[in-house]
Amino acid sequence: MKKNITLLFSLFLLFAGLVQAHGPSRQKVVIKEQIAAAPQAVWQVIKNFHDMSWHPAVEKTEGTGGNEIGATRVLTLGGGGKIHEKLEKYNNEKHSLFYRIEKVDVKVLPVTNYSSWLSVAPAADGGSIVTWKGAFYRGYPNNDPPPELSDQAAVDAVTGVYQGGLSNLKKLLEQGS
Amino acid sequence: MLGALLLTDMAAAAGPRAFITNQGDNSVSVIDLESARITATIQVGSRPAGIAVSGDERRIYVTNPESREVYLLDGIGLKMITRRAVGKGPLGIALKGDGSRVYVADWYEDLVYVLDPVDLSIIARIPVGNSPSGLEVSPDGNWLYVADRDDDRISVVDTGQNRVVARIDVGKRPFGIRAGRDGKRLYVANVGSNDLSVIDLEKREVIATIPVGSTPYGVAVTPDNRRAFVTNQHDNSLSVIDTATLVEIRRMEIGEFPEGVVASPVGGRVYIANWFDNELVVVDSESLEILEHIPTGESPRAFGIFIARGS
Repeated sequence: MKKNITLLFSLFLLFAGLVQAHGPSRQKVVIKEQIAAAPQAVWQVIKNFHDMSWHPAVEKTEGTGGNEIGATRVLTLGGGGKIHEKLEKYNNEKHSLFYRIEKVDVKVLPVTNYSSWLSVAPAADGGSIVTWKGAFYRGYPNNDPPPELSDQAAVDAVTGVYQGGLSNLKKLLEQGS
Repeated sequence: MLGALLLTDMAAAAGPRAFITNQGDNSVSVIDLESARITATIQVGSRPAGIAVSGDERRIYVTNPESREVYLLDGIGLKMITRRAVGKGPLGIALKGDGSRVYVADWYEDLVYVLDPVDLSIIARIPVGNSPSGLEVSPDGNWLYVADRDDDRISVVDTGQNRVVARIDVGKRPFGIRAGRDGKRLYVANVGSNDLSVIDLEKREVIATIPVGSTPYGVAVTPDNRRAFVTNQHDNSLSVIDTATLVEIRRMEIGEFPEGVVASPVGGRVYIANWFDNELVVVDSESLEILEHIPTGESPRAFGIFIARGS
């Protein structure tokens, strides 16, 4: 185990300089959650770039810029890992925002070149459909990645983030806790 | 080998077709441009990305960076003819206009492979810069231009000698490149600096740098050389450049994660593959009206010239 961590760390150091380096295929994850609450009510909970308290994995959000384009935030996850993100698009009327990860250790989230859309749309029955979707490359930019930095590992990790967040969001809005 | 072919329309291809690499489902969508629909789907290797089409549409070349192969497909019979293991990360691919040479950039090995167009055998390996990505051959066939993505540079290869004879500094992380059909200019999308470098190919120097949208991927140029189009991946937009004034005259919303882009060789149309939306968008290159959204396979990249330039 120690050997693997050392190897990963040295690989991370090696590739830390290759900011734009990435593997051959970009991955796509799209998770939708139907929520029995009006779109405006759902948007109220998720619309603040500096408030990620609706996500159970996020312990703390710090940053500046409000919801202006270019605003940045640092998410601290339970366990101490940090993700640095930047807001790139924001549409209050259309209930959508688009942001990018500027920096993350692949041990925290095994991805590179990650960008993501979070949006709320009306459902036919008066409720909402929240869509969280991301585009990213795996954490290891060269061929033959170790399994924990493979395409599948990246997809699984991001899927976990989206599902964990959206399930909790649904609970918050439907149970009013 | 019948298992490798899924044919949905037996009509012989009349009009020009687009060949779209779908990285998400390991296939190539064959799209008839007149009827604006998929007429065939061909299974290829793993995670196809790059594409090149011979002038008569008979030979379709695909790079599979994940399975590290180049595939040659029969554009009429719609099945694989042959394939070859090429390097460690074959991505960018381009054909000489007369079809006599296939060039493949390997972005892990920092090489351009020169392949025989019939059996894909390796004729030469040309050392170029770091992470070579987009390729373009000059209309007269004498020069191969290579985007050395991690060197922020274009290498100019003499196709007779198969070696680099010049280098031109451009913006940060050049990726997709395209020359005008008159051979006078090369347009370079710089994914790191969000701009387009315009190179005068005679002087071999940058004459303009035009800001475009976020993380530009590909460039197309109309056959009359009057307009260039740039796909801005993260911006979900298409930059429209007037090549006379060298100004971005419009940035239009085009769909999610636009990538591969080609102008119709007969003029009037521009085709954009939207990687997230899984579609090929058709835009009128004059009025800029969006004419069609044609569904493709999963995660189309179409990195290269995916419509035949004409025999």
